[in-house]
Amino acid sequence: MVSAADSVTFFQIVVEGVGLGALYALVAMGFALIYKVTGVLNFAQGEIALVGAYLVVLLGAGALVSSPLLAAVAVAAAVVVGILLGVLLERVVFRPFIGEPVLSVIIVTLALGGIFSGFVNFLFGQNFQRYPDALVLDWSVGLPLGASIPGSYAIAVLLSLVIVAALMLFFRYTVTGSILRAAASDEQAAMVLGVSIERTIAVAWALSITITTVGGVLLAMSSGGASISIKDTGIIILAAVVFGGLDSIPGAFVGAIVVGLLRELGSYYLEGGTAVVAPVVDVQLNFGPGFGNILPLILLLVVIVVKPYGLFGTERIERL
Amino acid sequence: MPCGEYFTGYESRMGLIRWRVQRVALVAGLPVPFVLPFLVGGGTVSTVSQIYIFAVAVLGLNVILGYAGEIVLAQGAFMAIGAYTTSRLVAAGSGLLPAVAVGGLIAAAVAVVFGLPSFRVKGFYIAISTLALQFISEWFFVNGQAAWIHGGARQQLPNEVGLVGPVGVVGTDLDVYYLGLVVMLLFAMLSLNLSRTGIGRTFRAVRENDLAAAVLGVDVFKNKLLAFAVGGFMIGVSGGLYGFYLGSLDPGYFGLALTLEHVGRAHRRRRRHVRPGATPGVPPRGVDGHRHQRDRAGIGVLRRHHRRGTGRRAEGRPRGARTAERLPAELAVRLLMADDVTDTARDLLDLPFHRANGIEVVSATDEGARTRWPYDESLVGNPELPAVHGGVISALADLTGAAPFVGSLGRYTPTVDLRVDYLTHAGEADLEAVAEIRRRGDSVGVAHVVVESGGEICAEARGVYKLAR
Repeated sequence: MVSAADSVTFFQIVVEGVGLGALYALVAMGFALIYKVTGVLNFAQGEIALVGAYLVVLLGAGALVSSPLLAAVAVAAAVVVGILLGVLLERVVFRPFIGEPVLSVIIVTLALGGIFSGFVNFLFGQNFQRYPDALVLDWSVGLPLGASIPGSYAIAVLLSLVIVAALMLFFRYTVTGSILRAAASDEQAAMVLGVSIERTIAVAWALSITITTVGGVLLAMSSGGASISIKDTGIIILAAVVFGGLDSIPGAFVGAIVVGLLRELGSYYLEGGTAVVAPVVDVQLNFGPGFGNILPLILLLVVIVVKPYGLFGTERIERL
Repeated sequence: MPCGEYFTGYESRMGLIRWRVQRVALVAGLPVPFVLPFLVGGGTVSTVSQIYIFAVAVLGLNVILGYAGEIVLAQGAFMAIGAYTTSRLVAAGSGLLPAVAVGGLIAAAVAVVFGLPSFRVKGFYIAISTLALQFISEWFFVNGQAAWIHGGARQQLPNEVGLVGPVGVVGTDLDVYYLGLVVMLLFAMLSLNLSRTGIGRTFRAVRENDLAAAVLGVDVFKNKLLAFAVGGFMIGVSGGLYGFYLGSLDPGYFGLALTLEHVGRAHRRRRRHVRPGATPGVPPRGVDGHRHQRDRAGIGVLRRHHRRGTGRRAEGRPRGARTAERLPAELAVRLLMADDVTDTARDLLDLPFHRANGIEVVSATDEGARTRWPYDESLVGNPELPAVHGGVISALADLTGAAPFVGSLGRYTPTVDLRVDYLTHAGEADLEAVAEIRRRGDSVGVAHVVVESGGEICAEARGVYKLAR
């Protein structure tokens, strides 16, 4: 009993899922990049995206930016602040933790996340902060089969494709990229060859946090403004990066698309309202509100048990 | 402590009490916690009880993190499992101790399931999977669809509970203090002895170098799971006691903040051995930065929510575009911009009548509210159709219209007038009602309510509520 309208709806949800996945991909690639180069698992990734989203609110306060040009300046300024934040975090917070146990770094990033979200909460409160009108994209791109993709999702898809391609080319063909790869695969050997590990790690942090900030801004644009729930992205992208293989940037991209799809499909079909009915047993699949966010986490658990190194991750073999 | 060690046998080297000064300290120090309640005021007794209860949880974490070396970030989840299990079993009349023990066992079972990945991976993969558990648990305990398992997000525990069945009733602050002290001493002894025996040494071998331990014939996977089970049990027991200590449960008490505090505490004092009397120092602050006092009436919960003004969860806000699409655009924007007052509305509207019928405030903001009343055969007013009784629909419309006012003002708003238009009969489906505020004046407020049965509008209503004090 699948009607044409149903399949158009399904296609629309899939398109939105891919769009959302592309937004997640930006944050997820930031995570994978930093893990690949420095070995730090940044559990504060969602909060960094949150800070990025609210930077635009801060810089583009209210009516000051009504023209698209000024709004674009606010976004650009947010990105620049993101770069500075990356360098600052590396210098002040993460450098002392080079060579420390995994647990210490994990707790530091978790605490950092708490500080960021608490700070945003303190400055802006729990309320939804509307973006300047110039940044609320009300256009959408029509697609075949009656679906359409909202403007911010379209930009996100394009931007994340560009970034994933640029990063791969950067790692493959530039000198800095080679240095980053060298530092990632063997820090000591790279040092012996005259590579400055400090500078390399600073570059990695700046890149990662910039991408994440852009992701946060786009996430906020897709819902018309910044809200505190952006920080939940941090846990959702863990599912994406683990699925893709922790240290693989294309893997993070693919994983994020899958996670975005799961989230959209899950929240449309499995949360009641439009819940689907299981074909054989005839039970309505209604897992209650918020299940869309939980579905990626279930994927994460399955992946960790079944294929812990993900799609493209480096399998680590330990020997005595 | 004497200078030099003069042990002549392994037994005396590994003894719990090795020097005379330790024996003196034990004899002199042990009575202190037992007489403490008679020396200090009630508030301090309550705070110290909380220290004891959390000490059990941190000792449990120490088994997993300190002895087996696995990073577990789901402290809040395990404690929530213990607390909700305890609440349900206490309500069934099992008595406190069996309820807490079963809560510990279920937490242990969940811990073992989430320890399974340690067969193939270690370190941060376990951290990630247990962090996922923490988020799943926060969703699970809020989720009304899972109420048949956890029994409702917000629960009250009785003031006085028998230790086993109806025997040995505990209830006063002093009872809770001694209960916490005894349980804490019991588990401190347990982990102390665990670290001295072969099991403890095996755990430490696995932590220091799992490959070397495997070479020496240690079954690494089995020992990790054992550590997960023992630690999970202790954390679950602590959660059960914490639930009884608080007197009321809310998923917000068992959030990530709790995990971070405990991990931070265990990490700071990550020691090879637990020493007697080494209780973690300051009581952790609550999720919102102040200490939970023992609060049976749940008034503190209300006070906290009221002081903060807005709710803590984002779910209360109509989530995403999908929910908003069904509403007119202008209203959708208003609802998105509104303050979330779900928690306060739920707390105030947690009335016997609503509980008995399973009526749920799905979300409430200062602009509107959404409620649900699950269908039940007892609600039928016309068995021929069958149709739901008109009074049921009026009652739902009334409370839904009141919810935004009640939630945002933090007090009950008496109904002045209610007009209901029944458009069609409501069939055998859950009732849902959506209220939208039309006017919020100084003395009265007006709300428009649409009642749906199985997704179809069956009635519309307009309620007038007294807002003036």
